[in-house]
Amino acid sequence: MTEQYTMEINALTQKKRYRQINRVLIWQADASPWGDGRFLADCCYNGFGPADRNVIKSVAKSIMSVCVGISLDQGIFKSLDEPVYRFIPEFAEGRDPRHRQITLAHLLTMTSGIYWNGGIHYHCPMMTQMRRSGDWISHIADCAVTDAPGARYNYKEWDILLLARLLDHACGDLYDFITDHLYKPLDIVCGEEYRWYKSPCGVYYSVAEGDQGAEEHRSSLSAYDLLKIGRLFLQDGIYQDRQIVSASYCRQAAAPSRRNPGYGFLWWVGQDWYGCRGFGGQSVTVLPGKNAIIITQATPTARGMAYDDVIQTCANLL
Amino acid sequence: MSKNYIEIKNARIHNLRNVNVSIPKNKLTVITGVSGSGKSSLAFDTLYEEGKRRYLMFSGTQFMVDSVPSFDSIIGLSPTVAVEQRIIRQANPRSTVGTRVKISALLAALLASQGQRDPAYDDGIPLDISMFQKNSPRGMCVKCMGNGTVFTAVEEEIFTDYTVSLQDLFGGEQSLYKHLLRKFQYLTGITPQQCLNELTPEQLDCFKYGDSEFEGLLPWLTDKFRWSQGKHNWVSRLTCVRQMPCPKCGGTGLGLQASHTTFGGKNIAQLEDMYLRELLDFFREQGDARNPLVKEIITKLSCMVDVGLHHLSLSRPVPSLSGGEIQRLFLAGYLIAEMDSMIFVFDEPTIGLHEIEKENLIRIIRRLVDTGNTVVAVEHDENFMREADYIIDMGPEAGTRGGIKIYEGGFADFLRCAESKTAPYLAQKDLLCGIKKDNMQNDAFGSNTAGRPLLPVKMLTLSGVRLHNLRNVTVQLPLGVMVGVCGVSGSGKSSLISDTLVPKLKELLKAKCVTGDGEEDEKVVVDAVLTGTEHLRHCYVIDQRPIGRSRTSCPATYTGIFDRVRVMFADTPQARALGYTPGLFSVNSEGGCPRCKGDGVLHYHVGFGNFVDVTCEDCGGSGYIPEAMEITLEGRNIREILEMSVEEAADFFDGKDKMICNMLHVLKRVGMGYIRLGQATPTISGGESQRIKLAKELSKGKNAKGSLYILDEPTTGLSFYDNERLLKLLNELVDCGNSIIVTEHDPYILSNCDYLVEMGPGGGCEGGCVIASGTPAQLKSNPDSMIGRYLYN
Repeated sequence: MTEQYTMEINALTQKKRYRQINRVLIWQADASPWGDGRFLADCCYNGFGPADRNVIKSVAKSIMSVCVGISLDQGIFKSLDEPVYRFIPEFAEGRDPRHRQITLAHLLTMTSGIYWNGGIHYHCPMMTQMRRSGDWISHIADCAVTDAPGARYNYKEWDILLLARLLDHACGDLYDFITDHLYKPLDIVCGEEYRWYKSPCGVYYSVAEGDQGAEEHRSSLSAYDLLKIGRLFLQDGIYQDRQIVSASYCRQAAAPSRRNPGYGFLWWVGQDWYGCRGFGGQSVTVLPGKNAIIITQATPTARGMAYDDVIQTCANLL
Repeated sequence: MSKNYIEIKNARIHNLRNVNVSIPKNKLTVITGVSGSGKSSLAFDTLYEEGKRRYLMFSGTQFMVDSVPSFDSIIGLSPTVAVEQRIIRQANPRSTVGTRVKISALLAALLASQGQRDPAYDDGIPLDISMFQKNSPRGMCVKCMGNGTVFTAVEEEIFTDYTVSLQDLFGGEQSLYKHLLRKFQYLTGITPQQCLNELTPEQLDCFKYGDSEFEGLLPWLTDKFRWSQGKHNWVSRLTCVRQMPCPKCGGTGLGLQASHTTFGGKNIAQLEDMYLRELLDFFREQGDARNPLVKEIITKLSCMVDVGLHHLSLSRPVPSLSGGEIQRLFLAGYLIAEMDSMIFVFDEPTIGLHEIEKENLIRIIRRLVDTGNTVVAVEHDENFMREADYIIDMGPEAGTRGGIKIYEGGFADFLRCAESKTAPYLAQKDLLCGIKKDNMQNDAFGSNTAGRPLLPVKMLTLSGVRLHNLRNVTVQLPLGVMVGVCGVSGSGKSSLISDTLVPKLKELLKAKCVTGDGEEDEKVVVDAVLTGTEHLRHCYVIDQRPIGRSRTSCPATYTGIFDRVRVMFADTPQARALGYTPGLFSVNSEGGCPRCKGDGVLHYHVGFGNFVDVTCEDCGGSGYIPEAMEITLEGRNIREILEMSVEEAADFFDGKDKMICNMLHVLKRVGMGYIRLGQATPTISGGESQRIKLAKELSKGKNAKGSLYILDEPTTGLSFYDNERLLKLLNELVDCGNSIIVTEHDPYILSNCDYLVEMGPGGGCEGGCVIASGTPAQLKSNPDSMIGRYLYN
């Protein structure tokens, strides 16, 4: 551990009065790809212990993307062009003539074309009606399709909810699938108490009902758990000499997609990095050029702070 | 002098020539005078602008740039509010009457807190206000996105016969559809000549619904249909694609819980669709007056009904309102606020009102004065002037020949003012109605002093009209004469003429029907029967929409004068030597200043939604590049020409260009002598636009016969003097063998029509019938007619 890194991070968070940050972690791989690497910084704030869990918010989207990769490897899906209506009957009813064009790839790239207004600070005003509708998937199937599928990127919850339903139908049970094929191989603690929230109408939604509810905490992960997911991608799908997900999928998911060069398959993509982002400061930033990974975790506030400057400062230290 | 007056010293903006006036406070003052005499310059550009400027400076909400003062002093000012007819409609297109006056928000609050919930949709969680707002993403129906309607291509109606080939699915020969088929062929190899039954089920599915590569027929058709709204093409004529009430929300545009919440048995959409008068009655009956929300709603609704907006509904979009209606909507807002010690400046508040409604409006404005406010109105209406405490008359003529205060004082003395061009019409009532008779007697065209003969063979008959509130109306409009259509606001005049007759004429006469602004915003084909169009050679619809579409449009460009002026400039020896083309003399072309893009001013946002306009330094406010400004035509450069009024230009171009002179002459005759050639479209009122359009058509068809001219309230903004000139012009048109249909409230113009059709009896649901028709004399003796008693013989 390098003292200097910790000091720099502490100085910044104090100067900016970032009282909500709970964890900052900088990890770098060894020269040998199979080594454990080393922690350049492992900061805990607000009484957080090193292995304590924090909400993951939309980092769950990137986790679901890994599941899609694993399903493809297992042949559950023939290809990314698999149409959604084959797994979700509401989309085969012709409620909108475009429903049959929506594919798995569209859900992964936020290009389903279904109307969505995210509101200011992404507070998701459209979720209220859906939550009160009694049948979430049917409600989404009623939504107007305002763009041709694949034509325009629009970050939205609809696509992830549809993906959750689709994976749940195709893989048996989404959380069981994640547990068996991702968490257990990565030695991430899992079990019934951590089973993601499932709505009364049967849709897995890691962000659950509210923002701070106990149900949402079920999907929480520790900073070390997030690091394992980052390392999985940095090592082309291999964890401790075992191929968890195919290398080709990892590379494709972390590469720019057609309608948004900053977004892959539910993974964010930058100039010299890629990673996961969750509302209010949850992040996994993989820097392949430096063989390093930066993790931040924070308690989300209404403004949805991102702490990009903290991540940038960490990256500059490397 | 005491502080009971607002004293303006040496006002000199525009054409004002050092005008001194003392406007009494807490009184009703009318500023009158011929069009272009400087009424608005005094009321709006001097009094209102300074009142607003001082108030904003004092309250610190505006950053001011010192401008050249256009007066020496104004004392006695209090906060000033202008109740204008917005010339440029800046309203948000989704803004409605209900959102504007905030009644929609009250209704939302009422339904959210006290609405009756349908048990089938009651989830036991309280409702909130945003769930009743269809513009909010929380409230809007996700299927129709708050519109209440959806577009659907009905698959079963398109695919009835599977032996038909792909290319003949819609009868063949549709260019856009051919493109789609070509794409399909490229992707699947299936040719347009193949029949539907030759496709495999997968291919048929792909053809119908599309896949990741192919757009799909049904989505494609729905999209094309949506964009064909109001157009006439093969897609818009398809019956297998249609717009229908949203199946999810049933047309409310709201989510399920909100759609199934009612007050007094009605949901929010139904309440918003009611006419304001009905809605007021509804709340008086249904609501508990002790309920503060209901009380507030009733107060606001009564104010709106009082100002004559009873025929509107809360759901009515603001951009579809007339200038007069917008003005009264603002007025209602101020009445609701119950302020005192304010100065209100009105721009022709009686526009668009029936005589009966005018009396009501005068009463309301009187109430504003009685509660301690000062009202200054620019107005031409006789009864309004009679009610005024103080009259200021501007004149004597328009433009440079105006700008002088002719009279200021009480109404009684005004009648004796010999210099005024307005007073004689007030003193001698029969002056205006005598025009027709005089005209007839001095004219070789006719000898019938009682009006022109009505020929039953030459008649337009419109029957089965059911649009909006019209109740299966049948109406006969004689041709070769001047027909007036009247009735109280909302009685169905516009529904009958602008929304039924005009689209019908367009449909039947096609290119022979000229509407001035081209093809945009045409409505769906209306359901009515029109006969008699064989008597018409041409039809000119002359409405009040702005002339031209661009910001740099002006009377010179619209009438075509400018094209010729530019050629004249390019043809000067100076310009020819330098190789300049006519394009150099247009701000929209090479000649425009690159910095301000021809505006002459730069707009700076100074916070709080306020803008300050600063003269562009590069061009010095001319909008032109220096090269263009250097060329002169008899000592005048291009900008100086544009600064000329029509009157001045007529003198300047006399003998230089026949077409320009002719055009300018007609503009003078329609009462537009005062307008500047380069006056920007946004500052031209609806009435002025209409007269410029009229002039343009008149200059073209000097010897046209058999044409029908349709005018909408042509007297808007005209003084008695100008009314008389307009009337003469219209009479001349008819005497040359043309026909005129005017929608009008002005009793003078109506008395001078040969035939009248009166709609009524009330507005909205109380209207929609023809209550009387015949000659003005017949209407006068017809007890059913409401306008009859206001007509002159």
